[in-house]
Amino acid sequence: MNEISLNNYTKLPLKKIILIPIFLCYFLISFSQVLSENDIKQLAQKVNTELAGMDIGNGITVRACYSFGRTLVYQYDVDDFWFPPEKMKEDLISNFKEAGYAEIYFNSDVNVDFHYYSGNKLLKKISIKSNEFSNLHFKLGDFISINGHPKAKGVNLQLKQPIGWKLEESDFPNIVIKFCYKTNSYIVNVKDNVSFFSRKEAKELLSDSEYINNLMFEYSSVLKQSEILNHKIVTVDRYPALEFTIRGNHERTGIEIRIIMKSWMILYEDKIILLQCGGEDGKEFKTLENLYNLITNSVIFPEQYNY
Amino acid sequence: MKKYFYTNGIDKIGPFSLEELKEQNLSRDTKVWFYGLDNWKPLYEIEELNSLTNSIPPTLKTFETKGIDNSRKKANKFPEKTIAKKKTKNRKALKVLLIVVIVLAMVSFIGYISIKNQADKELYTSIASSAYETDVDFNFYVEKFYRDIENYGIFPKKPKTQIIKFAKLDQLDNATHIHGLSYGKDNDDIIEIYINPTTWDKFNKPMRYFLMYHELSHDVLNVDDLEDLPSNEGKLMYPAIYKYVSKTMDDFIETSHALFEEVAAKQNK
Repeated sequence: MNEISLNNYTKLPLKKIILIPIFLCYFLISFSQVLSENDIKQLAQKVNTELAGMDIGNGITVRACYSFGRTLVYQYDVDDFWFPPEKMKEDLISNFKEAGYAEIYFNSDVNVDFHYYSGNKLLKKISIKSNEFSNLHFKLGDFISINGHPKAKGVNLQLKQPIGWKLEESDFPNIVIKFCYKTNSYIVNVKDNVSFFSRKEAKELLSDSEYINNLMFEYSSVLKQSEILNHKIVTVDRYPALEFTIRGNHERTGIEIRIIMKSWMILYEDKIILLQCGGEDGKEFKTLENLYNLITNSVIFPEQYNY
Repeated sequence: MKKYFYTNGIDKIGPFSLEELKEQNLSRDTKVWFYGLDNWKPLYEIEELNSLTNSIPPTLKTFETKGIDNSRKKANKFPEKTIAKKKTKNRKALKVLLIVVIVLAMVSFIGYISIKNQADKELYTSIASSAYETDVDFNFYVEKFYRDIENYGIFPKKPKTQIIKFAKLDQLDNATHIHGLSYGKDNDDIIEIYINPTTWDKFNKPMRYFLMYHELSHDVLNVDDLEDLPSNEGKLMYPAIYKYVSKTMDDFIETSHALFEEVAAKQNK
């Protein structure tokens, strides 16, 4: 009986608490996508002027709003009987998402802190990083194998598909599989190489700076105003691979989009396997980069373990 | 007057008077006989010829033969009819014997070759007649092989006639453990390879590559098998590929590259 009443007590103000940051969204939307720290400071001042002292019910009053770097801090006064509900942070994030504003905070790269005071005593502090507002938190699901796929050219490769991402076929001749989420994708591309390369030979080739420079030039030439952000030799399931990130403009039917691509080029026997991921250049890529790394890290070439 | 004979081990030479005997190039061991002696005796054992023996310096072993040869040459100077006749007869007999031996050797060799050819022909007929088409795309390996050798600057003729089939190599009476056979070696107009289907089923991916590139190296590059020595183990032309169970694709790639490099180097000499 007590628990039910407690939940009822805490749920109501929680919904109301998010009204203020949502109110802020109105201002956020009116600002440009890329907010400076000064923009955030101005926003905080505006919110503070308009909402300070507002009673949002259940004995909770807005005390102040200020900014600290890229973080907006909301301070509330609560009565002596208030206590923080369980999983308050998760509920807050969930409410932001339900209201459809989480993405705005995520895209604007604005963090939010909630401070709850009883007099001068800080009862509860919750910090939500902008990334936590994103819907781009995915876990890896089951292994997908390309063995026997008509476009796999005899390559036996397995990798994990992220849960929530669509598995798609592609019309392009060398793209074997494609995981898609909105405008983001992870592609497995298999091409014929000019010869066989053992792992030792591949490592030697990838250590040749002249070869790498030519290769980078070739890859980056597919984009306009391209720049190579980084490249290094890594290992993908015991096979040497070249990891590189390229940013540039991609034009299609007159529309130019700034895109960013991370790739792993693997010299596998007499094939070139290109694992390519990316999407529009922005915060989404940064958030998804770890997922891309996890997918690549899940890659297995099972044949090598057969003999 | 006493007459002496001596022998060079083959012929009896004489008769000589004592004075004449002294002129002969005798050694102390030269066997001498005269009427009254039961048998041939070395010169040093005959007391009455001590003066002759003492006048001859002891012979060194290495010179003994030479001494005999010289005595022979000397002896030949004497036209003793019977000895000369015997010698001529012996030489003729030797020559005849030699010719007979040579002819026999040639006949046996030709016989061996023809039997072997016959056996090879029978083997080939047996293999070719047991050969059959399969779903395995052997051309897949041929294309890759030509692509790889071209990377090393080797551009052999690519024959239009290409026979690569499974053949029942296990059922052959005079052949066991044959995994593949190439019949197009030294013939640039054909690729003719027969693969043992049992082997093919048992072999893993790297072993199949080893087998196909091995046979194609015979057929296209005219390369011979290496000797079955431990030092050759791991190489593409090692004849016992069935031992390569634990070999990887990396092993195959590196050893095939080593062979192509070798062939290209020979070609560019």
